[in-house]
Amino acid sequence: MLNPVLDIKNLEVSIRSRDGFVNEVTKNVTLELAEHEFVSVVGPSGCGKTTLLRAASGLRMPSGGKVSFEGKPITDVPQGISIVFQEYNKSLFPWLTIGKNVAMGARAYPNADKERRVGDALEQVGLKGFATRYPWELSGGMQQRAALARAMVSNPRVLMMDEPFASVDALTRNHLEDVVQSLWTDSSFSVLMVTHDVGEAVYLSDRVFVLSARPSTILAEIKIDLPRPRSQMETRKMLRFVDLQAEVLERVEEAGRNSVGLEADE
Amino acid sequence: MIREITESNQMEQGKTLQRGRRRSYGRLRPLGGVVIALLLWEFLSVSHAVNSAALPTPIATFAAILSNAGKLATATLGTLEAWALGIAVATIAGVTIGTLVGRSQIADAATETLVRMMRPLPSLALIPIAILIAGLGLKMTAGLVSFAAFWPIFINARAGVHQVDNRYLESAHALGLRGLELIRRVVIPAAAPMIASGIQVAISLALVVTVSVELVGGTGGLGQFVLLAQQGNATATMFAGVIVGGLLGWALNALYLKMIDRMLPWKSQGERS
Repeated sequence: MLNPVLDIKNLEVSIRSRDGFVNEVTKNVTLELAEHEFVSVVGPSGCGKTTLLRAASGLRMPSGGKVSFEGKPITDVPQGISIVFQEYNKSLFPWLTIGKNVAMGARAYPNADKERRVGDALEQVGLKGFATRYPWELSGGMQQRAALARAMVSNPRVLMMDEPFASVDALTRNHLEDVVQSLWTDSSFSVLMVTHDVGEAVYLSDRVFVLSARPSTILAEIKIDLPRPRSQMETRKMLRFVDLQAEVLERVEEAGRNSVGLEADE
Repeated sequence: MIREITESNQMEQGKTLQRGRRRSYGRLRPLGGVVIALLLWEFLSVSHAVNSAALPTPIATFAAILSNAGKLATATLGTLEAWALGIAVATIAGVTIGTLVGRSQIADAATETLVRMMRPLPSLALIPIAILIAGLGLKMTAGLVSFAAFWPIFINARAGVHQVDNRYLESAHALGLRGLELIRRVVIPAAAPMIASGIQVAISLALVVTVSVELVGGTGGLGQFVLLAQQGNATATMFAGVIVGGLLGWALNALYLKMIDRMLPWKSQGERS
């Protein structure tokens, strides 16, 4: 791939447990993310998806391999990478209003500019008029929208999402998927999303990677050649969608079968 | 927290009552204990179960409060001055040092024993030492008060900072917050509910210490007021000083809780979600 925006090469992450036991979480993961590409990583539970994302974003230092962002190796979370976490209620700050939470992502901009950007970001995720409310006054779906706005306000090159919609109900999840899709369509950033929801991965992505059980490696890469724009009602009915979903699911099942008895918390 | 739980209980119980009566019941209920205590006091003094020279009736005590209003006001201000000075120093020192220690694994472990030793230490036992060091006066009183009030604030700040949810820290890190900005914008707000309850404990403790030092050292304030009344055998006046001290403690606590509800609106809501 020519000039990938994010380049993960032979990534290895080991976690040393308290009693000194070294636990190999990921092994030899190589993954490239092109400009304005939507890539998802799926895998059996406990396979180290979250760990992979943390290492890819610079939140955790890998024990081997290299992650480069825009050609430069990363040593910390670089400006230009935004992260949306699964647990919105521990990621948004309850002591700040929604507007101030989002403004935390826009600290690099001058004050005059900041206000307009926060307003725009809130409008983009459908939270116009909620700037003065506190996170705990909103529903889970709305909180996750706010977390998205906070991630988008800094105009990132790469948006990383860790199980972003796992804590909301199915209908809200569909809505949020479309919010992300339209943000991505209207802009030029790339997305790296970790999820255990195969349908969600297929629906949103250009490519889906299937991780094996621990120590995880990439088991399969599946290109999602569904036409865009996609819609929940139309796309999910397509024969091709159903086929792709079945294919990804089969690989995930395969990975899960090999990990019976090895399930671990991430 | 405890206060909120009882409040919501009251509201739930209130639903079964008639709408109009519910409110007045809810407000008057906390006074029930006061009424019972007053009745008991009246009974004890009138029945001569306790030597009536040592225990004036409630009415006589309130009369003494009124007739000594001026002196009591001056004494209360004196106590408040030492108290406020002590609390201010203790809060600044407790939050600052507690935050620094709580952020550092090594310092946190190193202070564990110290904290366990200092927690049960009776500050009143230090009065003679404090007098030796600083002499009699505001400096000594405030110094001892700040020493006593420092520990609950420091302990809570240290624990609160140490226990900040890692997910908040990770979000903050991903947003590019580092160093002092991280501490100011995320660590301290996240630990604020815990720090606030440390300060609440310190507020009452500081008042106890202030009045005790005044009582022992005769350094002005309500403590000295009570001491002088006792020496002059004016029992009702002495009780007047004690009651005003109690009211002062209640008022400071109530005022503080009101302030905290304003400053930390997420205190209860944030924990629930």
